[in-house]
Amino acid sequence: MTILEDNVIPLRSKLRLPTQNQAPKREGSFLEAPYRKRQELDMLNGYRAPEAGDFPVATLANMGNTCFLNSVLYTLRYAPTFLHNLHHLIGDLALVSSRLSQTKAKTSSLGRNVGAITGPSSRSTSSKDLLALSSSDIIPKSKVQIVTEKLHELYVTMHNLEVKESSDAYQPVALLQAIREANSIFEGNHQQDAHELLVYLLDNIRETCDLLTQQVQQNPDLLTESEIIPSPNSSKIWSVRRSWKITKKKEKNAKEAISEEQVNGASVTDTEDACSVDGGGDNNKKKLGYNFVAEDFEGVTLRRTRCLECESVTERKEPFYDIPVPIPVKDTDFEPDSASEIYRKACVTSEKLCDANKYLCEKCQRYNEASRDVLFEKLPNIMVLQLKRFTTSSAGVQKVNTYLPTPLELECFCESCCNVEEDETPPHRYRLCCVIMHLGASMASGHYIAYVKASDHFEDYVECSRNMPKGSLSASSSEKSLNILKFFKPRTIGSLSENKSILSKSVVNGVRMCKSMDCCGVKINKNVVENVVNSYPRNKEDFCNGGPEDMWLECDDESVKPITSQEFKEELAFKPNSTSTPYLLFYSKITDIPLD
Amino acid sequence: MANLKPGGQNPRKKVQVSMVICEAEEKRHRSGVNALQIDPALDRLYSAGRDSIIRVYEHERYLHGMEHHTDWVNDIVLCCGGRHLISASSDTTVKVWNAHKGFCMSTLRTHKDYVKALAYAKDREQVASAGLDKSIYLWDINTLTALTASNNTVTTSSLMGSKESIYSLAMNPPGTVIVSGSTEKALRLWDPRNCVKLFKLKGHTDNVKALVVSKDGTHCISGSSDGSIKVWSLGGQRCIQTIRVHSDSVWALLATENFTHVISGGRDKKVIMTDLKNPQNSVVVCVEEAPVLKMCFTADQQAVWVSTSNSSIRCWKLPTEKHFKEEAKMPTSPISLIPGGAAIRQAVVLNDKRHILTKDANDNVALYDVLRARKIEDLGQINFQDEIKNRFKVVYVPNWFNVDLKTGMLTIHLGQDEVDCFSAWVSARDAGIRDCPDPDQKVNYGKLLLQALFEHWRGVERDPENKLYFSVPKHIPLILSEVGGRTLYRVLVGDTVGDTENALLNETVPNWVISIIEENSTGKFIKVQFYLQPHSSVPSHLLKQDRLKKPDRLVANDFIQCRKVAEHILEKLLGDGNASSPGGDADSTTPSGNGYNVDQIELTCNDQVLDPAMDLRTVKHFIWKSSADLTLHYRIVNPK
Repeated sequence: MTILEDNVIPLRSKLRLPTQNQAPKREGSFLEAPYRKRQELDMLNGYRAPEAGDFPVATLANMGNTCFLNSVLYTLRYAPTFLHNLHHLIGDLALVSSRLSQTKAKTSSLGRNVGAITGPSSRSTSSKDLLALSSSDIIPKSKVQIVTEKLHELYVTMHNLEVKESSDAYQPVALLQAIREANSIFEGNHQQDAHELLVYLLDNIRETCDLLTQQVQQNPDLLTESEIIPSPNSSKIWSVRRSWKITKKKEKNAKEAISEEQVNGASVTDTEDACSVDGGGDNNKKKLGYNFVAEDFEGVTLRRTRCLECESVTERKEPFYDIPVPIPVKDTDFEPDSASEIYRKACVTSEKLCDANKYLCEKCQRYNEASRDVLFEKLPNIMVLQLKRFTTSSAGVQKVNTYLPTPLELECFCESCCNVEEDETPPHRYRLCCVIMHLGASMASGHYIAYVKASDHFEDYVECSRNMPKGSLSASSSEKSLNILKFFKPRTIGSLSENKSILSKSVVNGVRMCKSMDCCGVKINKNVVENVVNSYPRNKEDFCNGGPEDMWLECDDESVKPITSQEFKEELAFKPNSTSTPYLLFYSKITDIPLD
Repeated sequence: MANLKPGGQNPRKKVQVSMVICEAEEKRHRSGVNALQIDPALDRLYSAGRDSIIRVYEHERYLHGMEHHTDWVNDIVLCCGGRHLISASSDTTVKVWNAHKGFCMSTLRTHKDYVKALAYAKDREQVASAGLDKSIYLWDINTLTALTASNNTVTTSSLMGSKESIYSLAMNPPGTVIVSGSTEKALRLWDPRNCVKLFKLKGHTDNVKALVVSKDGTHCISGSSDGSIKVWSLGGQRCIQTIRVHSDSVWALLATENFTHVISGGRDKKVIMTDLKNPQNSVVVCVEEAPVLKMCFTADQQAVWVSTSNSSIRCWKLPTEKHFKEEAKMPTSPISLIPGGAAIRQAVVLNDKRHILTKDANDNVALYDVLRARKIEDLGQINFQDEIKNRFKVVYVPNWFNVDLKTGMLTIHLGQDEVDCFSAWVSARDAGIRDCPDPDQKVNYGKLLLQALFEHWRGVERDPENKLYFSVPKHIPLILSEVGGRTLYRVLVGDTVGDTENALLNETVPNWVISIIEENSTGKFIKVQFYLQPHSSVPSHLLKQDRLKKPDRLVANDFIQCRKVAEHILEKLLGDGNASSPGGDADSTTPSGNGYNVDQIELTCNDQVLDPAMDLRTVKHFIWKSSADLTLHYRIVNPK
């Protein structure tokens, strides 16, 4: 078995201020080993590409026009925090379901059911932990819930394939079937819009979360005292950074955030002092009913309308999941705008309501001219930009191939970042984590591939505040703490850190890895990646200056190829007349703590 | 080009009929006052109201109103030594008035959007108008006042080049320079003598809403929504001074005769006088109770009249040298006041779709009857929401008119768009018509009101077949306009009898109105679809065999009462169906063939027992509460 000393986990201390330079190092940390051992490895294996079928991660087979599905599945798998949160949602569902059936057995007259529709008997048999529970599962499940469970099952299977180092491409038949049963628009073997599927899947999971919350609310006796449902709360990875307090104080459910109000100029600021970070909040975070989709993927737009007559301002807030980015049809001369500027201008807009489109001012009781600004009060932790490449015209749906840069790092354009003074650093920025590319001239004939930043998202699992409810799932808490070290086993391959002492220290401090990593986490085959890195021609300067580089995975159905950041950048660069275009961009939020 | 005739009907735009429910004489402004003008010779004050009325005060007492606009009057200019008045309105027209007698002489329909500002060159008797359509037109007043019904065309010069909506305009008395302020945030200048564009002055960061030009045309002062006042040298084409005395947008400006001081008013409700030579030297003239819209000097220039977005107009003493040197304190109360009335701020149409409960700016609640076009009850300062609740009745009548409060008075629009004015049918009894031979006869609210509005127009008189049950007061203004667009014609109900008015109405009244008031077409009833199902308690032997298989799907007029449905059940669905009495005439007290009478049929919807007097649309709206087809259950109570 693995020896711990060789595999130091790069735990990030909460008290340490992450600097801009450190961040990439951590996320690409598993790549540091190759550089260290470079000289010897160079001599030993001097080949460039891995052998056919030798992939760093599990792969998904194309079942005939299913690249839209595969690209989204790959993307979600590597989206920060997604797997971890999904796992806990499934665990909670199983827990509540088992308690419900116990209650049902006792009272034998339980009126309320989960969902109206009983899906085909699909059980969450995926997780070892959940096996025992699902066998006693007698509550009919909604189609929505089945899709969520099948998604989790798929990721469990992929994890298992990675553990076995199997290179067989997996066919996500069960999930696709569940999706088609739940939503008829995905029926038939046609190429589908990856964006539509993404929105559907996220919505589906959000609904599952709501379902769970609803179930618990209807049966409050299901919960022990320590499991009171919290309001939507902050997720852990973000909480390590400065922003975690923000979401915590957000009391309203994001779905009801539509409110129109007159403002006196003062708006709620999105940031709080970093010093307010304390451990106390952890206990309340991420309990049952935690709606992580709403938390991580949902942002809030602010529509600010000012009547030009009375000059009073009305604000309206609306939640959103992705931001459509219009693309100029013509290849306009590129202004000297930076890439960030292009996206900011496309998203943060200002218009004048006039002529036949005047604004009905409530104060003036009439139609007047008005100015309307669309701003972003909050941008989500994982921001999805949908490039509007498909436009409907009289000639049908057409694809716009105009080049738009895809920056690896994007300046945040939320309101608080836009209002920052020239000389100050904005509180957040965004880093590219996944891209879904559309290749081809039309939506029907095209092909989707996903590029994801290679990471096992180790940090997502560190110090998971979600204690497994006592006695509910396989391991008791005491057992868990005894076996805590074993949780490090599977993932240690890639994780390296300069400072060995961190690990022992962290464990002493009670740092625990969430065991869900062992269930459905990403397990990257380091050897394959190493080979690529080592074989990549690299000049000394790069090595000295650049330090370790991010690795990306090009996920094209059953073929997953690790590529370096440089290769990836070249892939994204402008190519004349290219129909291979980025379509969905996934950016993860980074909140910097000011260094004062 | 401009003409006196009502705007020709654009065939593509639908025409709606509107009426304003007002008093015979509205002596007080109902809403904000957008502009003021003074006639020193006669000691008259003219005020342009958001309630569409220009009012004239002589020696500070109300003299008369000048009514012809149909929307906010945004600006007025008194010209020709006080003989004529030019007005600009959001009804997109500019009007020329005989100021002494107070009647409208002609209407200029050249603008395509709200006309926001006027500018006057006294020495040349020229006036310029500008608005949200980005255009500036220059008019020769002597030509305008010479217009007659036969000679009704006038040429205008237009000043080109504006890129955005114009909110302010100023010209110097000799008419050598004209300046416009717009959402472009810059001032634009022209030479009105040759209509040549001069230059643009940039510097403000928001809309420019107020402008004054010095007599010699060398300087200009601008007030902006960015909160600043800027003094510009037009010769140097630059800003020479920026004055920040207001804490919010600057909406109104006045300059003293010799351009030594500027008086400014704005959204912060303050009027401030500033010494232009020494801008630190400023004195607050007054703090109004609402944002300041306009100011004008009194005849002696020692005080200013101030109008705000509230309806009262106050006169405030201007500071003198003593006040600037802080040797004396400014008075805290006005030297004179023209009290305004209260604008209607909220209007709720009651369930009967005939009465409207309103609340005005003074929190007074009143009840209006739309059919009679009058206020029927003053309820005082009571709780508005409570009163709405108290007056709630479980009765549903479809919407048949729209309400608009932009003038501070109730304006009722009748059209054929989303809200069809012929959709409300009620029984004569429910409409409160006493002398109707058949109280169950259905009357149409929209038709009744249109008949009343056009009662005096070409022989639409009370013929016995088409009896008119309601009349509206003769002073009610009747407005024909394009939906969401310009006004075609405005006339008082009582004046429609006149020959000129008659002819103009012939051109403007839309066909859908003529057909309903003249040809006595009945219009279409609104149908409701519903299912009838027997309650499980109904003995199956009473039902025809096929009733057990599928529910009856029925269609009926939406005002049919439940009693009628019960009669139908009794006759058609129960027993052998051989009921002898024809539909509608069933005598409810006489037991029919199967031994039951109609009182024994109980209808339910969503498990709620229905009152026999309730109509189907009310059931659907208040009990069924769904847009899907209504389902009613029936059962027999007290079976023998």
